[in-house]
Amino acid sequence: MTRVLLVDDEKEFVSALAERLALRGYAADWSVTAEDALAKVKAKEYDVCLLDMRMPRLSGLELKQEIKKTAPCMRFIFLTGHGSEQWFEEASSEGEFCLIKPVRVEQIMETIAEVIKEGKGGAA
Amino acid sequence: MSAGSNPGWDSLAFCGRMNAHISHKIRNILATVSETAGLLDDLVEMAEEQDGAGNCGRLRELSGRIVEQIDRGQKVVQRMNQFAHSVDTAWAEVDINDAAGLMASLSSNMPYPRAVDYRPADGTITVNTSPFLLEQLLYVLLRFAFDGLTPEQGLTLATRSTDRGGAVEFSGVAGLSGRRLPDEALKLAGALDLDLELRADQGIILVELDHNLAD
Repeated sequence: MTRVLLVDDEKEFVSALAERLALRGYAADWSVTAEDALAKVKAKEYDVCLLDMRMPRLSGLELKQEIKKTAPCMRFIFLTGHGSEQWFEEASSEGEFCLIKPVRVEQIMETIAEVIKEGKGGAA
Repeated sequence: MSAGSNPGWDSLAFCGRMNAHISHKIRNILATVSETAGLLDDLVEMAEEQDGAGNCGRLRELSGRIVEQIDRGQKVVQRMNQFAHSVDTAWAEVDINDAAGLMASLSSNMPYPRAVDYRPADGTITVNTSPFLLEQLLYVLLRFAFDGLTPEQGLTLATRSTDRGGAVEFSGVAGLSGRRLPDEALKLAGALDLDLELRADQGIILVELDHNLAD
């Protein structure tokens, strides 16, 4: 069973998405703060982290670096509602998996499978 | 004209940034509604499998309607965001296809809209111009063109490359005889240093831009 941690400050969004993934066979947990996400990563192993690019105190990229100190093998997928083409191109060019909200749950599942298969996002 | 040196433009750029931020928030709200509707659909599907159809068909129809409206809202917000970013810089490299496509899409939000058949040229047609003022000009021309059309009539908006740069052509514009281009359009054409022509007998309005208008 693939273990997924969803991190997004939009509670209703992230909780609904976690439930939908759970219905499809994923072990999905969610956090709405960077602090809670870090605590969950310290307490439990995850295969993939879906991370909102814009969190209130830490950016998604900053939180990724913090998480990797505890879970260096964790893979990451970034979510954003911003849809800025420049941001998308920059993050994509750095090898990140990026999805723009709204995104279909099937697309998220495909990306999770892809990121696990390719092992991307695990490098520091 | 450049952002940072003109208070009027700075205010416009501020307005654009605020609208971009707001559209970002609306996008997040729509994503949340979309995910919640998706979860509702999942639960209805599970109930169907466990207990038979019952009233599930009606529930699925209603959740489907919510998803359709979210998709519609997302498209509007996408265009709002794109338009808000058009004041990021006073002058920029602009793909005429992007500017004309955006205004063709936004025209459906105007009062008394008419059908616009948008036909972009293949590839990109890049010119150096003011994205915001160019979009404003296309908006003014669309409104002018719509005034001459009945609700059943539509117009064609097409782009093409030219030796000088590119062109935007409004065609099928009925009811142009005896009319002249709006002063606002002529002023904007002057500010943008582009050619604007009304061919009333052919039902055509033509906008021609050079590659490097700001040079």
